[in-house]
Amino acid sequence: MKKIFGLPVFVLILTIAVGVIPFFWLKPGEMDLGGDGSRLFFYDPINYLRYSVLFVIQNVGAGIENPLTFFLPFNLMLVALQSILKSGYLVITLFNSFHLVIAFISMYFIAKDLIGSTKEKDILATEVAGVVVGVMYIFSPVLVRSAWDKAIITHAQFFLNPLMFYLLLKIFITEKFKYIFSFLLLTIIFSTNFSWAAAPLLFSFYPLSLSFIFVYCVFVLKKKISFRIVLTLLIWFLALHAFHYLPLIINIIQGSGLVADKIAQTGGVANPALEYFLESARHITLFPNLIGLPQLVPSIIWFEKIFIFTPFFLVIGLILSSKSDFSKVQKRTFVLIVFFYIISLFFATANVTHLWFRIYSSLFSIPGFSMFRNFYGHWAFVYVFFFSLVCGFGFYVILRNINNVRIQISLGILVALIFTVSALPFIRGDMVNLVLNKNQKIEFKVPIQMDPEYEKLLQFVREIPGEGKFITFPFTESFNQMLRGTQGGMYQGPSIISQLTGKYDYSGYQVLVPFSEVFLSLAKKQDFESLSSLLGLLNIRFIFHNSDPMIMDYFPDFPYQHVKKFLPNTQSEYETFIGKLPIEKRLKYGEYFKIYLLLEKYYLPTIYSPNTYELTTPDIDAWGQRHDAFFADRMQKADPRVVYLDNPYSQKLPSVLNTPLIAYQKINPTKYYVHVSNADGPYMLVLSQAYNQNWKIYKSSLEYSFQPIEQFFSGTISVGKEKNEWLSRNMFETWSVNPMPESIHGKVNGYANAWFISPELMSGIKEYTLIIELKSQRIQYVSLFIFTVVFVSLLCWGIRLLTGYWVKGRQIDTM
Amino acid sequence: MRKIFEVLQKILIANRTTILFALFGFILMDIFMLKLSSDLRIFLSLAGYLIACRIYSFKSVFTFGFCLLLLTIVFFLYVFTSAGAMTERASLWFLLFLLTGVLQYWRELR
Repeated sequence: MKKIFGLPVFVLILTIAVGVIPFFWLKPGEMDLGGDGSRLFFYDPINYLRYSVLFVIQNVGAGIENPLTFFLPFNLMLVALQSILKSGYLVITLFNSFHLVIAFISMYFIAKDLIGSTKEKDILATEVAGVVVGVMYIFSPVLVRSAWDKAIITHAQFFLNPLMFYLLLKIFITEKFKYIFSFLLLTIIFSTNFSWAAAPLLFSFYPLSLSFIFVYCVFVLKKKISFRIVLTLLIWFLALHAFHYLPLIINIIQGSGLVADKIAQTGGVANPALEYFLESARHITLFPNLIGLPQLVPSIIWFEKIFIFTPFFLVIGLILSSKSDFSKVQKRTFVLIVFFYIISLFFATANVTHLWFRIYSSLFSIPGFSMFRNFYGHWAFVYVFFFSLVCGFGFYVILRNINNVRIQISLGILVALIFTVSALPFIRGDMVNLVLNKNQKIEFKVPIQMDPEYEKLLQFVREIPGEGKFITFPFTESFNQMLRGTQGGMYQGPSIISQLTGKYDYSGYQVLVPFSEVFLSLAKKQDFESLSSLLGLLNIRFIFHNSDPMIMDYFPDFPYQHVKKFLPNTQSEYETFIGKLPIEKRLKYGEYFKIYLLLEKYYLPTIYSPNTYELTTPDIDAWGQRHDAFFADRMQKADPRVVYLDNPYSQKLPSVLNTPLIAYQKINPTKYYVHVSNADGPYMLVLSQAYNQNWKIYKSSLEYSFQPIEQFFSGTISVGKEKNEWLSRNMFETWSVNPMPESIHGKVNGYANAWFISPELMSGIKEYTLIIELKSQRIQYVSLFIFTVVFVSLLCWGIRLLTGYWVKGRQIDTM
Repeated sequence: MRKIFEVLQKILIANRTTILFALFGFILMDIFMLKLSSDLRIFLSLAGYLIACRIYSFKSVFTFGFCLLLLTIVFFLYVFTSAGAMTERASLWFLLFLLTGVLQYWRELR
């Protein structure tokens, strides 16, 4: 059989055909953006890197600690690709193409390796079965419906699962360096898929796959697993991924951060994950999983009953294999794949006998197992992987018992055609070109071409030298914003301002916690004074209003359904609503994009020193939402610089607080310099960022000066131009310095940080510079340093071995 | 005690076909007639089948043949009644017998 690049010609042609498919999905210039992951890194990878990845704080709402460091390698790759291709559309399309090609080729090679026949008469059957396995996997009715629309980056498991399985198989069988190197390099580039964000996908696929490879090597091939290889892989893998594992482990130990919260969701009377599992398990049945049909989504295949033939391959293959002249290795391999397929089926179905269902439910009391609450979605990839292999192997066994070459080829073409035809909507791009608002008078699809006027607005926002957070209207019930493209597409996803400009944005109900309920309540009552007080307290200075009627009028349900009961229902009502807020200045970009400034008297800067403090009477529900508008009368006070305490402060506070002169500058989202003067008495320093015990305050030994560009409260607060420096000359200045005692740090205003600073603490000095820093950022620097050292070592090792091979021409690709 | 066991074994061997038909009939009854699924019925039937395999020295290929029969029932149920409760129960029987056969096969290959 003639081969090109190690592939038979017909396989190469099929691979190219598969790679061309995504070019039918989007029109040139379009990008499928939005969804939970926003996918804005495809549109603008440079600014996404700058504002969302480099710092451990996300510019969402009051600023939550949620490191996306694991995304760094992939983001850098996108930056490189964008600089070459100059088009987000091309990057997305090629990435989708990569998905399909790599998945197909990997499954093909896995099938061939596992079939493992070297007999001349079996070559055709092996090749046909390999192709069928590849086609079955990429066009599986389950996987073509697997969230291709607005796909989150962990969807890369579509091709990573088979690719990594193949590389691991080759590593343990051949012990060759090239497979180890490829494996490690790919895990770095796609480190998101090996991070906590992909935990369910990781823990569903790899334990099962590694177990399979272990049993296959030891009991089928009778080959010892090299402990040296395992150790080498483990050490290199952990060292290379330390840059995102280290911050994660430290967060978990400290009990802070998003991940620690998710792991803690377990056990007890109210286990939301278990409830979610029980509810979704009611709808998942065994039969569709048995024949490889999707569940929970409407069918797009009119002839889906034909898929009943797939398990017949498996059973007939088992019967024939036990009778024919197969080697013991092949028989064992086949039965092993079937066994692992059955295991994955149990996990993907849950409803397989009452006993298994009870065992599965009880697993949710294990900390961390709550990640599998969406069990079907997580295990579907695993079971389809083994399902394709099992049916393919069975198909090979059947083909092998047919001596007629033409019949072998015809059967292969028939099976491949059935899967291909069933996937025609997918090939056509229906999975990507989803309509967001079906049955509305005007429908909008996901793919969007960015409005140039909006791009100008984004650039303007990036260049705003001063400080202040944004709130986006129309306000949504989630964290999404809506943005219409120029060609009938609609972006529905996280705030673009948050992710691409460096400004914080409150874009929806879920982001305004713990004030979401009280905000809606005040809006309904039309209490604009209290609303404005709240906006100022939250450090919101800018109101962004996208007044495009299309983003509201044709979306009666998501994402406005709940908030419409409290907030305006149309854009003209929003104009009236915003007009009643104390705003000044209005900037307009294009026909619809407007930015307003909240009147200065309502606005509390990011860092301020309060004049008075008040104890509140918290009214907080089970979801952490406040219902008390404790800030309502703030503007009636002589000085609106008030700080609100839910509990008496840990330090004894004087009846009147001193208000020294403050001048501060934001160096980056995790660091501020604060110059304090006239600190005659004890005072509080408030940082209007989400409370986090990792915010620390240090005395600086350096003199720091800057040119203020804004002043508030009659010049008592001066603000320097905002910076976004990731690496700076002075970045290590606090590393060898102890922060001020944690006892002076507390939560105020329902969400913010405050420090009570007494003259004794500052040794009676009245003028000094303080540094407010989020300590967690250091962990990112350290872990990235470790990564750089390890990665360079890996490259050097690889280059040394490869150059040794080229120079000396000897086979040195074993370790 | 040993004599009772030997007598029992003789009866079982002599009535092999009847016993297999009874087991198959029981499975069909569970699929077509009984509304609620029961783990006790399922596991007792599987246990009975395994004992039968031991007594009658059935190989895994026999179990797979049984699976093929069950899969054919699943096929007809799916075609004529869609993916309803009976199809689901038949699928469950198929899966459990498949698992049994796979474990038998692995043992035979040792």
